[in-house]
Amino acid sequence: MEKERKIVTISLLAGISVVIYLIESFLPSPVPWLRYGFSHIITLFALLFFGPKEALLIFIVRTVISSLIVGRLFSPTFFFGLGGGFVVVFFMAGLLSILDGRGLGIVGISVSGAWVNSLVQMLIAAMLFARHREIFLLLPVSLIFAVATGLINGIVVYYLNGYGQRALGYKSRYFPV
Amino acid sequence: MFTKWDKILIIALIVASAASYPAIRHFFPGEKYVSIEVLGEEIKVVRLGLHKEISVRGISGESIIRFDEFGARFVESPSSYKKCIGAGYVKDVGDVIHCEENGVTLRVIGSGRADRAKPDFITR
Amino acid sequence: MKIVKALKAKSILKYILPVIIVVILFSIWHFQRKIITVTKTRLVLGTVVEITVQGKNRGLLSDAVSAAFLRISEIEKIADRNTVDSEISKLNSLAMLGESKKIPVSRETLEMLNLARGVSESSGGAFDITVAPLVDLWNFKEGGQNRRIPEKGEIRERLKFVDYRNVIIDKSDNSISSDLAGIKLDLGGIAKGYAVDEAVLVLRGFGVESGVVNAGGDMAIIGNKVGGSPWVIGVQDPRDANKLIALLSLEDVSVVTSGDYERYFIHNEKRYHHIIDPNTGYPSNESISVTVIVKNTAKNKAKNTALADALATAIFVLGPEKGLELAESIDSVEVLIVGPSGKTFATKGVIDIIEYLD
Repeated sequence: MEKERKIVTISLLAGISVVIYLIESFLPSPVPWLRYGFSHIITLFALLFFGPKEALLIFIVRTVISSLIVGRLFSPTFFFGLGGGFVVVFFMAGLLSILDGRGLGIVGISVSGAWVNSLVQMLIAAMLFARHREIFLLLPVSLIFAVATGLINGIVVYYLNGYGQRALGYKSRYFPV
Repeated sequence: MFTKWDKILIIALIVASAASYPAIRHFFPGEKYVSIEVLGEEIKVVRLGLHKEISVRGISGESIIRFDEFGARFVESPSSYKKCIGAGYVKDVGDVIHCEENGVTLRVIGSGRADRAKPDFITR
Repeated sequence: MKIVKALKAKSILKYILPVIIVVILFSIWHFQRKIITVTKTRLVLGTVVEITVQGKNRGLLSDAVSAAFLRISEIEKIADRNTVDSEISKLNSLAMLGESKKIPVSRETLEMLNLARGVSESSGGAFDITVAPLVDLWNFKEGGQNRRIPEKGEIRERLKFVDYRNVIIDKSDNSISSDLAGIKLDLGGIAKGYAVDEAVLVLRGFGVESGVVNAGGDMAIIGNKVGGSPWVIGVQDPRDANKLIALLSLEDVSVVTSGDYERYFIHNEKRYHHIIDPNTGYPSNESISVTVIVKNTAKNKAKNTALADALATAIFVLGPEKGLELAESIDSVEVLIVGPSGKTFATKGVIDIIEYLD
């Protein structure tokens, strides 16, 4: 892929990711401090389209820019998002390269990523808020919630993957159409 | 869209999520905690409902706080009028006893919401 | 051109880029309106002082609160009788020596003395800053072992020195004087409120339009909560520290409560507490608790917490009947009194702002 095309696509994906994150910020949060994580649609798509490095870059750009706008830079939500996001990118990248398209499909990858993300966010929350240990009682709820959002993200990425391969003319390493 | 393993994974994760509930309940049976503060700074969080005594170093000496099934209260305090001992128990979320002379505060915190409108401040 | 072509789907840029820009701009506008609350707590004025402010700029709010605390410490240095080199301590040591010449005082002390004088006059001496000799005799500040009930003779002896009229205030040259050697001033009944007022002035100077300065239950409320709702203030049950007797919905007022449960001891089933009737020399049993609310009006905005502080003591000593009369006679003052039997009394205006509990 040419360099310019790659840069533009990455910037565009980062921009879309910011927009998804911001729109999500307007929605009421079901569990305090935790988020739907719909912007991980872009993270997963970038992971399939480019690879871990680019996905991580998009994710970091998205987190910093949107936190600046929302006014949550260095707030608890920021760290939950950042910590959970790092783990989720490496986790999904690892799953992809180990399974190499076998076993789990895109939806499976997305769901397991979201689930792990939720778990990591809870652990970070526990470390940051020793006094609010009762939020652990919300763990089961947020885990099930993560399965649901992971499912939605996975389905969206499933279609994006197909569209990307047909319209943008790239060949997926793991999930060719 | 879904592979066989996708479906198995989703079901397994839902089961695992649900199963984490009893485990969590086991470790955190109560939803109420007492935050012990000295000069406004939280030094300890103790779950309500267990029998125990905790001693806290305040500005003028040792305050001893007893926890039991009724709640938490001061049983020993260096303050001269024993006002905080007389103040009795804290047990509901939002309850506060402030031991002025020793700078020690007991505050019940929890995950539940208060039933009625809680005041922003209290005049006393 | 090459780049755009290379993307093949030209329309992606054409349609998605404007959407991205619009959403980001809208979000910046939306989230920059967000209101922040800053709360800080310090141990000053012998109590826990908590300042809470709401606004848009965290740095500014934080600076405002720090400056307000500095101002409170300054007032403490002027008015605290427990500090040896405070202005009030120096005045008292001069007065003890029988100094009858004019003594220059700070603007703050003069203002407190003036306010106190006003309340003393309107309450017929139920509030009196010269009550210090009696306060020292009863000694509620110090440790429990020394607590005892003073002899009648001792009280009679000290009552001689208790009369606010013995202090002569000269506004023309900011000085005070007294003909009577041995009088002692105690600004305790007004200094806390005054310090809160001064803190509020500092906060307002920083442009704060919403907040609460709470000095151990004596508080000034600036504006209403962001979003327009009033601040909800609970009134403590005087016989159960864990309960409230009422909720008050307040905006732009000062609230001060005086109660017989703050510092007290019980001897032979009788309660002896720190609010001493300057006329008898004994703790007043006319009330259990008095909550005074002074509304800020255009005319009267400066020293309402100090006024509420002094009035709470005065009304406590006067009791429900005369106390209500006094409160009704002053514009913008409301009061809630728990009488000796536990019955509550309130001025007419209270009904609009109160919700009784249980």
